[in-house]
Amino acid sequence: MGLTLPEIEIHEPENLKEACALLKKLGRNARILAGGTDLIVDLKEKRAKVSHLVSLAEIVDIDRIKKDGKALSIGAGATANRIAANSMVARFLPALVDACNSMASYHIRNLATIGGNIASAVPSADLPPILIVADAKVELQGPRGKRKVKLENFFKGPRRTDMKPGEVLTRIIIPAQPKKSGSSYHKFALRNATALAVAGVAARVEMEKGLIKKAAIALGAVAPTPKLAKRAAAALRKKKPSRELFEKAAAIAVRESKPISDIRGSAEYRRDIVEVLTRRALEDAVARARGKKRK
Amino acid sequence: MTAKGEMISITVTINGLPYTAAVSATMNLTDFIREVANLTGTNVGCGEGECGACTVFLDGSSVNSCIVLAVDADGKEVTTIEGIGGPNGDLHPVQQAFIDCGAIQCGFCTPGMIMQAIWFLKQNPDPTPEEVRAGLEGNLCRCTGYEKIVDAVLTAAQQMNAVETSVR
Amino acid sequence: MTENNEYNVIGKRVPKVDAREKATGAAIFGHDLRLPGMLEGKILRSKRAHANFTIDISKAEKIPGVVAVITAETYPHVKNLGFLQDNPALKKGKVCSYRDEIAAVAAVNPETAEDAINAIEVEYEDLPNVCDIEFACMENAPVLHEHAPDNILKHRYDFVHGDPEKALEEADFKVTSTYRLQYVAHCCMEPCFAAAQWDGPDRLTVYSTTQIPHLMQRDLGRVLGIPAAHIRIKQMVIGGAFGSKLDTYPYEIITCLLAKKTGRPVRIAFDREEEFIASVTRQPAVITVSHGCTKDGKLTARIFDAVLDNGSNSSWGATTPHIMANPVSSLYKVENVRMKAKMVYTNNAYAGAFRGYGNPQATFAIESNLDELAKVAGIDPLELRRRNFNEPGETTPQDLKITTCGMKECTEAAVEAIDYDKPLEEWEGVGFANMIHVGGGARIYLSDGSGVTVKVDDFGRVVIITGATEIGQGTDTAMAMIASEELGVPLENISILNSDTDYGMWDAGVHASRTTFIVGNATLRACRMVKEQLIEAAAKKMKIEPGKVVFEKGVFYPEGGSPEDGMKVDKVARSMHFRRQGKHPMATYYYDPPNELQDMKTLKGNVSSTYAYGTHACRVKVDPETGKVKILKFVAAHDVGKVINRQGIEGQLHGGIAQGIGYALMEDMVFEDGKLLNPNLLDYKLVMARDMPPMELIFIETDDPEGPYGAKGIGEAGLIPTAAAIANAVESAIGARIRDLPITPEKVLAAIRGVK
Repeated sequence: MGLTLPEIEIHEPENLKEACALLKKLGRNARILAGGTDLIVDLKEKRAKVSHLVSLAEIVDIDRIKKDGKALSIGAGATANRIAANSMVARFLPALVDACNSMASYHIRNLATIGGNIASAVPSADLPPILIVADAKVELQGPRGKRKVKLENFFKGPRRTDMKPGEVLTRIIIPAQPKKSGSSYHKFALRNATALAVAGVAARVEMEKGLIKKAAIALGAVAPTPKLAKRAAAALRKKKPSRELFEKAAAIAVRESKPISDIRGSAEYRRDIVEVLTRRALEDAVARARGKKRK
Repeated sequence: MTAKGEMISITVTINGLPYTAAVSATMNLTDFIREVANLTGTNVGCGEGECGACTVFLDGSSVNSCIVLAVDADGKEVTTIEGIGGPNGDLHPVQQAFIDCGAIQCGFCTPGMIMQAIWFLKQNPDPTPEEVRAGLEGNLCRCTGYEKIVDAVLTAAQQMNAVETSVR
Repeated sequence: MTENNEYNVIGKRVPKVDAREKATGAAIFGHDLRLPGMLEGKILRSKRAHANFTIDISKAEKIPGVVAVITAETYPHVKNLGFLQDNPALKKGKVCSYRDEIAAVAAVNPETAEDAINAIEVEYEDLPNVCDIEFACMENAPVLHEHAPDNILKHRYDFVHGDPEKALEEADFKVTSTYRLQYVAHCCMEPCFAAAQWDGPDRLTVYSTTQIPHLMQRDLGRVLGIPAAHIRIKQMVIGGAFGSKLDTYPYEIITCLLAKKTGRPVRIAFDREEEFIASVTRQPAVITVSHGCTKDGKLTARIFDAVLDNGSNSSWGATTPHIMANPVSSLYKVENVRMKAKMVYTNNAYAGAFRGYGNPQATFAIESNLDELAKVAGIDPLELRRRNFNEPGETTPQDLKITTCGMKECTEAAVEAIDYDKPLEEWEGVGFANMIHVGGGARIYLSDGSGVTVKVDDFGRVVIITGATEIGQGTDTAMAMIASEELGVPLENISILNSDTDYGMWDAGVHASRTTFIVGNATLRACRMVKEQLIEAAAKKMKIEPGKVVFEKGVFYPEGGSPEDGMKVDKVARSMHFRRQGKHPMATYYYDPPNELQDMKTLKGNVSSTYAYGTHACRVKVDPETGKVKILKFVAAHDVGKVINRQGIEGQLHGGIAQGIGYALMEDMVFEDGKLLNPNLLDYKLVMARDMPPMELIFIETDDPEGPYGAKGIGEAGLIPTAAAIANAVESAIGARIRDLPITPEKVLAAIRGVK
């Protein structure tokens, strides 16, 4: 008898419309249950205080991964292991496969969904940084219809998002990645598996005639939300890739981070790690853009 | 179980047999397996998905049963450590390899570790030692240092592949 | 690693006798126990590190399904626990740590028990927290317990041999450093469990995961005030212990009290968080070590000063200096030695026994400090050790009598296997460390004995009845192998009957790496007694002198005859008792080793009948940008006396090394004002499969004269020198010494910057 959870009622709506109506009605007393890997622990530890769970288990197609025009659409209910094993994802954004595989453990990745990893808005989550640099949007279905939000604007604070009562995150849309572009995700943790990131950095670069045409860098676990390091990225534009350049960008990224000290590392150490990971992520992204390296 | 919330009637098929019970919304799958089906081989080491001791198959995928709600397993198939052997006490090759290779000490992590190893070998029937270590990344063991567990998984892979070849 | 041909079974690789039940999920652990009518017990613990409190249980008692709520007032005559008897099972009016038990409930199910716990009303009046040993020792510091007005335990350790202060002053080279050892958790995969059932007012059965069934029987009798002769301890299959179950704890007493109050069986099963908060830890320590040596590298002085955070109450952690004294006095030849240790009460967690019992802490400090001395003296660390090796025949400053000693062989084998002289790449390091530990039991109590009964039945089945405890370490298998070797019976015909104080004979418990040594000797001798009986019976049957009977591979035949015409064990056994005035082939042997109880003042005496040596060596690579340490290769060479079960001993060493690596690099219970910040397996980091390096094990067989077949105890050795070896390798890689465990990437990076 390992689990003593507070008294809770569970709802299994059969379609999104029903789910939205329920969520709207229940307001702050409800949480969405998808993979449950964070939520059930939160409930047990009494970090989440809700009396209703709205399960998405019965909703058809919420876990579908498909082409959507030139973009890739990943259903919010797709598990990390399914995304990592999907050949479209591997072609489209191989760094997302890396990020999925860096999450938690094998078994948890069999349950944990991309939607949950995003909507939980835990600062150390592994998937948001790479999705942010890839310009991903999330689609939110509410009682009155759908809306799309750029992922970089979705997070409002630790465990706080732009989602309104009654809304469900239904899918993630990743636009076609430009030609000659490459992305990467580098994570540092205190153990080689089943560990939360001390820091995580995703980078994307787009190359043109040997120069960096555009770049994006996103930082995880070093600010209240996953965060674009815009000034660091700007410093790369129209420059020739070099270790010195990446070091310069990394130093700027450090200044854009706002880490806290906690049990996994001091703020000072996190800044050190951001610097190292940013440079390494950029090196990898450029290598991928040049088609030289596939992890 | 006398939880105060509304009880929900569910049926979970465990090792081929249906178990029906009215459960509270918050009962986890581990409790369903242990208390309703009375199958106590699935152990609880943390209750938070960090140790892997409660690993079972849910519709064929390995999961930490402690972080799956029993109601989410309604209508699904679960396989536990008690359901992987053959008739007459025959063991699964992974079980046999764990015994033969000395992969078991206190034995508390063993059922979960064996379940994960079986699931992993289905995904990757001919792994390298490094791949085995990655495959077992969610299963903690405090006794063995994992060395003989990795040996056992590799040994089982060899034996299972040899059997498959001979059948062909 | 050649297989031994001298024996049929001993030295071979034998799967554990309990492996099948564990592989099939059939093993019954504590939480699998179902007793009719059993209630769920739960403990309310303090929400403060240090406070006076008042309590109101009336609301909790009224909840439907709650059968009993107890506090210190319920059973006022219950006595205290702990070797200093300073720990009441339920605290009265004052709490001294977050783990302190203030009330307990028994209810029909866990949910109701939890509700009842939440309904108990406690009012606290905070007292100043004393969570730091330096603060605790200050004059005017708040006092935790009236019996210790200076917060220091009366019980202290002061060992001296020669004149270490003078020797240090006169030394050609000397070094002094302070090392800090953290709190770490046993993290048995199975959390703590107990169940109790009374039959009338003073007859008690306890279902337990204890490592000390017979001592627990005594403890329960004393604490509960009932005759110990009315108590029966039945042990469950135990999901790891590592020393954590070497004492009797408040939750076990509370389980008994709840069962008494309700008149029904009650169980208490911790969840992981409670396991972290409320079970014992490894003893943390601040250790200052000085070493002095001559120009030639001969060690002349060692001074070792330890201050231990004793936490709020005393369990065995407070006695770990007793074992620290072994390496301090006897690791290498040092003429002048002093060891002092004091234990300080604080509002932190309290420590118990944990594999190595103080030795890993002491060895980390000593072996780190020796590398520092080598640097100061300009001598290679290996050469410094070589000049001071222990040797057979030596009597050490603590009067330890070294019979066999493989220190030299272990060191040379380990450094060769790690390729010690191979040039290092940038940010690569190599290091090693040695150890000494008790290997032939340890007389901590008046008795270091254990009794074994061996019986042979009509069908050739051998049953070994023992009071020894299997905690996963493989003792049952070692006993079966010994019986198989001696009686020529196949392993599958041997069964082990243990885990019950009603039939198991006295055993001092699983500690001090003693079980295979002590119980192995008892089994061996009991089997030989049975063999004599069988030979005598066979001789009668064959109508020859017993001296003319040959016994080989389970067959008795006349000298000069052939085994084909012989009699098997079952037939001889039947011939003994299927007759008038027959006899049953069985024997009991109680083995108590030739070692001594040390004098508590001088700490001198030959505590073990032999000593185990070992060397760990490793090669590491440090990421200079993140500070992450990667162990490229790990070598462990151990003087094991003789290998009994090759598979088992490898497993013990692999597991020890893994725990040692965790201790060195990752594991850390982080307390803030007495509150544990990481009571979970996500942020308390145990090593996982991907964190383990390639390991090479080397067994040095020194054939100990007292050990069964020459074997020494080896259960703890695997983690004793591990952290020191890693710290020395990290220093070799980065040129800076890290003296605080764990060696986290953050500390390494800071150390690298410090060097620059």
